[in-house]
Amino acid sequence: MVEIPLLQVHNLTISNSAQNNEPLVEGVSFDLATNQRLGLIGRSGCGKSLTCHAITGALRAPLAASSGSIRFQGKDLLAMPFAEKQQIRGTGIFCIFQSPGSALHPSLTIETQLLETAGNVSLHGQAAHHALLQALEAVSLPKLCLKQYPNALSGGMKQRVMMAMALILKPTILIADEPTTGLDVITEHETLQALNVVQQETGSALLFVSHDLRIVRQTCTSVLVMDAGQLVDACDLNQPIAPDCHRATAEITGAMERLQL
Amino acid sequence: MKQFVFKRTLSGIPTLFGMTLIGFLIIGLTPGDPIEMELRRLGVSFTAEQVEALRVEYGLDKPLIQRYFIWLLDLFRLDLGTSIASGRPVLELFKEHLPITATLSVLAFVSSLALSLVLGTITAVSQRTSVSTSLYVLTMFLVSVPSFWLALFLLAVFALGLGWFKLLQFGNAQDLILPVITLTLGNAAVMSRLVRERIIAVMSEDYIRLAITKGLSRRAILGRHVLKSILPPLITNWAISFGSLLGGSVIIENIFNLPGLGQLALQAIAERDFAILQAYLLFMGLVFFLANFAADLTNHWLMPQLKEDDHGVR
Repeated sequence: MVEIPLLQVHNLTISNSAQNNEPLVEGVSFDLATNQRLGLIGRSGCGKSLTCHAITGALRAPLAASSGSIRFQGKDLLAMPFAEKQQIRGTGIFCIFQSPGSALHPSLTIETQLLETAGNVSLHGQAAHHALLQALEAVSLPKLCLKQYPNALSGGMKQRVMMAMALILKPTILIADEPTTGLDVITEHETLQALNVVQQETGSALLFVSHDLRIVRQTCTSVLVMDAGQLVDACDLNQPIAPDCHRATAEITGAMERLQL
Repeated sequence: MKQFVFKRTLSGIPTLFGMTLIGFLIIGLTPGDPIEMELRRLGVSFTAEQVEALRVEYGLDKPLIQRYFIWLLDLFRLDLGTSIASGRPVLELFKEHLPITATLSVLAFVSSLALSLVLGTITAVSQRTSVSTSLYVLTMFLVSVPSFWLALFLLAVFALGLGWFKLLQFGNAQDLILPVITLTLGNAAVMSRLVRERIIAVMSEDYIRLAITKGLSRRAILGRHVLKSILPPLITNWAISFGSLLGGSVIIENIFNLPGLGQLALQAIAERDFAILQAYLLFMGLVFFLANFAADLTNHWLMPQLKEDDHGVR
């Protein structure tokens, strides 16, 4: 029996219905296997975040996945009603978005936001509280944070709150959409460390989106390259990049070599 | 919280004084002599001396500013003056007419609040469905239609046509149903459009996307995350709309012939009954002030992240 990959993106096309259905992402296909740590890399505006949003169902009108399929454990997410999708979101697929500054609800305490996350995996009362404290410790956030509102936390701390949510949810697939955007180098390093902790603790498959190969190398074993809305290359990060790689891949790796990163 | 209440109360004092001054002056500067108007209305012949004597009796011979301070001092003793037309104390007239207006406004306010939340949520969440589009068109119609037209329409259909209600007479609570519906529909239509716009705006926020991504149920997303975000600006609007409901009830009370404050005020305008009008203006101002005060307090309580003594752990 052939094992079905965890996530199968097949021929995904995302278009803008307000602009003549102009495709922004076209014919993207890839698989994500259990425990795989896959990077998705490309220049800004190449469609990697849109691909993520399509998988998490966070595309906003007038953008929509106009064709193709996204199968999670064999079930097509695009054809699913909202209530059924909510069963998969969170525990099945969870996404840490870029811009942590606006990702947390401004009028709910960190505790409330983490507790409702715990409630989603049927953790209540003492068990939930215990899970919260464990998650906070894993991402090295002080307990004090619980009673705070997001505006009292720094960007890096907010991003780690998101990681704590991932720890509580233990999703089958964790998507990180440029989680280090807008963070300084030290915070970036801490965030990536926290992400690695989360990935190891939860055993999630990871889809890591970034424009920075240097960061992707720290978290992933293989990488997909996107350019102008299409998937153009796939590389194994344990091997040196082949000289006959796509122009976009060469640009990204070449730019890094020139900068001696 | 205590500090906030204290500060807001203090800053409200000048506002209240300003209100009494402007209210008194506007009425006091209205053209038309109340004494002469009243005598003409009664159809009695009078001499200039008699008018002058009455002026002295009602204190209208003094300069306006002096009259203001006398009125203000009386106000502190809860003496709102005497109505020229009826010769009765204004406070007594208010006590008589207020219950109907208050019942009408509070009922209309509560029901329009509930209705607007339901309508606004339906039209925002299920966009582009036939139900939501027809509801949207209906609210647009109700926003555009003046309340007197709606009142007459309801009277024509339910009182004249179907005979479910008595026409133009006030006896019991049942006679408040049509006026409450009239006020509710107009107000709910305006408010539901606000609710709709706010929900649509909030739904595209990153934190709502996170709530969806976390796998929360539709109920938790709407009931906790969305509601908590849309409420603060709505509460401020609701507070203002409560004042408008009271003001709007002037027309409705007259159409439905309800002996409320609105009818009292409208009659007082016709009779240049200054004392009643000044008290009415003051009352309306006070209602607006208190409604806003309540809205600020609620918002302060709803958005605790705005607390001044916020010690971050950053």
